[in-house]
Amino acid sequence: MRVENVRMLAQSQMTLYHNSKHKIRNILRTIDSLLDGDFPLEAGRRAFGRLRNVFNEFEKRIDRAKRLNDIKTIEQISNNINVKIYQVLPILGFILRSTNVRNAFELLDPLQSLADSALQGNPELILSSEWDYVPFAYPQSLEDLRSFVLIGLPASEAASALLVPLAGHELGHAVWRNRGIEGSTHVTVQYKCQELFKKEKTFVEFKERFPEYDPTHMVAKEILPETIAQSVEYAVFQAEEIFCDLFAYAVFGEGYVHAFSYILAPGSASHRRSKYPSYETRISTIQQVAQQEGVSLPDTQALNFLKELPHANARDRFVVRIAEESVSGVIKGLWTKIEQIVQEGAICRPNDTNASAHLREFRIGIPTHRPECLGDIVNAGWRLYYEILDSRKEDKIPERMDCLNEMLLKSIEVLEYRRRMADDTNRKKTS
Amino acid sequence: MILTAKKLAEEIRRGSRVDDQGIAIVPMPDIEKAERDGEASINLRLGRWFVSMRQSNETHIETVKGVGQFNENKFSKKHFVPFGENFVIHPSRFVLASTLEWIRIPNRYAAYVVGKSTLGRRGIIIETAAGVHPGFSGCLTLEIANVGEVPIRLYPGMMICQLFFHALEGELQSSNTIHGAQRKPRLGQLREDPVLSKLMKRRR
Repeated sequence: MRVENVRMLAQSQMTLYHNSKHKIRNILRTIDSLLDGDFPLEAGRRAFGRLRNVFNEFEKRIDRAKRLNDIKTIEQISNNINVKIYQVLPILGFILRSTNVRNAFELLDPLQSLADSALQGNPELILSSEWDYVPFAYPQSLEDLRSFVLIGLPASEAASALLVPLAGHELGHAVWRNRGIEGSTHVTVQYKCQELFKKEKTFVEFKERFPEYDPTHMVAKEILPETIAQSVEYAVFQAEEIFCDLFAYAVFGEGYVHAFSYILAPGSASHRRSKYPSYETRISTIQQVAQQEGVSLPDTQALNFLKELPHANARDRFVVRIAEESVSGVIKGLWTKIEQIVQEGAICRPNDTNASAHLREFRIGIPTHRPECLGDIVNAGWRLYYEILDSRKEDKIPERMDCLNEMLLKSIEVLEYRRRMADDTNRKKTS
Repeated sequence: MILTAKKLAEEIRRGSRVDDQGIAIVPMPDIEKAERDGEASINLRLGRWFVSMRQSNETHIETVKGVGQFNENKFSKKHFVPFGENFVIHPSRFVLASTLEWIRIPNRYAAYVVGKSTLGRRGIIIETAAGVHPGFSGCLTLEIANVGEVPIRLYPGMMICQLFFHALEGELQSSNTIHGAQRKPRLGQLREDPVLSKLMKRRR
C-alpha cells in the first residue's frame, strides 16, 4: 500500500472515532436536557439515567480502542453506537412524552401497583401518550431497560380514564414475558398444531392445499414444514393477544370490552390479520370466561364490530384456521395462569356491587368516596357513559362526558390517597 | 348563618352516604377532628395540578367576553407536582391551584373559602373568588399569591385553605355554576354581560 493511501486510511479511521465521540456527546446532551424536565414519577428520570450510562460505557470503550490503536474495534464500536442511537431515540421520545401534562398522571399510581403485583422483580412503569392510535407496550424487552415497562396510549385519548383497561391489556404483554408464559405456550400450541395435522380431515386438506410438502414427514415429526411453522407462529401471537385480553378482563372486568370496542370498533370489513385473533374470537373468548363467573358481556355485534372477512387465499385460510384451533385448546390453561397471578399478587378484581355503588355517586356528580379497585371505578364510569348516551339530551353529551372523566380521574386519585393512608397505617402497625 | 362543626360533620356524613342533600367532600376530611376542636370550618388540602402564568406573544389578558380575539391559554402553563415534591412560588408571583378535595354543595348551602392564617403570615394569600355557590360540584380553583419577600414551597396534600358553610335563607330551585366539575385549576370562562355590552356601545 502506498504511503499516501495508508495516511488517508488512518485519517478516515480517526474521523470515524471523532464522529462517534461527537454523536455520543450529542446524545448525552440530549438526555441531559430531557433530565431537566418535570417528571410525574421518578421512573422516567431513572430510565434516562440508565440510557445515559449505556453511552458513557460506549465512550469508555471507544477511547480505550483508540489508545490501543485498535482500528477494527473502533469500527465495531462506531457501528454499535449508531445502532444504539437508532434504538434509543424513539425511547427517549417516549419517555419525554410521558411527562407531558396531556397525560392523566392520576392513572400512574394504581397501574404501578398493578404492575408490582403482576410482575416479578421490581417493575418500573412509564405511561406515555403516543402519536400512534394503537396502544402498545415495550414490555421489559429492552436490553438496557429490563426492569421498565413502557406503555403508550394514543395522545388524543391520553386523559381518558375510561380507556385505562387498554393499559391493562398492554401490561398483559409484560406479564406474558415476565412470567415465562410465552415459552410454555409456544410448546403447547406447537404440539396442538401437530396433533391437528394428524387428523385425517386436516391431513387431506393439507395435501390438497400444499401439494409440494410430504405430510408424512410431519406426522412422523421428522420435519417441521414451513407451513406448520407459520401456523405455530400465528398461534403464539394470537395466544398472546388472548392472554392479554383475559388479563385485562380479570383486572378491569366489563370495562375492558367497552374500552376495546371504543378504540377499535367497527373495525374494517376487510380481510383479517393473521397474527391477531378475529374480533369475534377475542370478544367471545372473554364472554365465555365471564359467563363462567356469572358475568354477562355484550357480543361483537352489540359492541358494533363488523364481521371480518377470512383470507381470500385458501392456503392462508388453512394456516390461520390451524392456528386458531390450536389456540382454542390453550385458553383454559391461560385463564388458569391468570387466576394464579391474580391470587398470588392479591390483585383486586372488580365486582358488580362496588361498581353499582360508585355509579350512584357519579350520578349525583361526585367522585367515589371509598374506591377499592381501579376496575370498579372504570366499570361504574362505563355504565354512566351509556346512561348519558341513552339520555337523548344530545346537546349535553360532551359536557357530561367531560364531567364524567373528571369524576373518574378524581376517584382514581382518591384510590391513591386511600392506598397511601393504608400503607402508612400498616407501617405504623408493623413498627 | 355559619354551620357549626357538629352540623357540618352531620351534613358531610350525609353526603358520604350518597344523599344529594348532604355536603359531599371527597376524599373526606377529618370531620371527627373538626368536631372535637369545635371548628366552624373544614380544612382543605392542596391538589397536584397547578397553572402558572407565562410570557407569550399575546399582548394582554382580556376580561370581557366577546371583545377582541386572543388566546388566554397562551399565558398559562400547566404543572403536575407529585405527592412528596413541591412547587416553589416566588415573591410577587401568582399561581392557580386546586383543592385536593372535590366538593359538592347542595342548594341549601353556600360556602366561603378563606386562607389559612399560618400560611398568610408567611406571605401566602389565597386570593380566591371566595364565594362558592349552591350546587357547585368540583375541585375549587385557588388563586395563590406570594406577597412576601422570600420564595415559599407549597406541597401537594398540605392544608391550604378552609371552607366556611352558610345556610341559605329562602328556597333555591336550581343553580347553574359555570366553573364546576373540574379537577384541575383553570382560568374559567368569561360570562356574557348584556348590561356591559350596552354600556360599551359607542354613540354614532
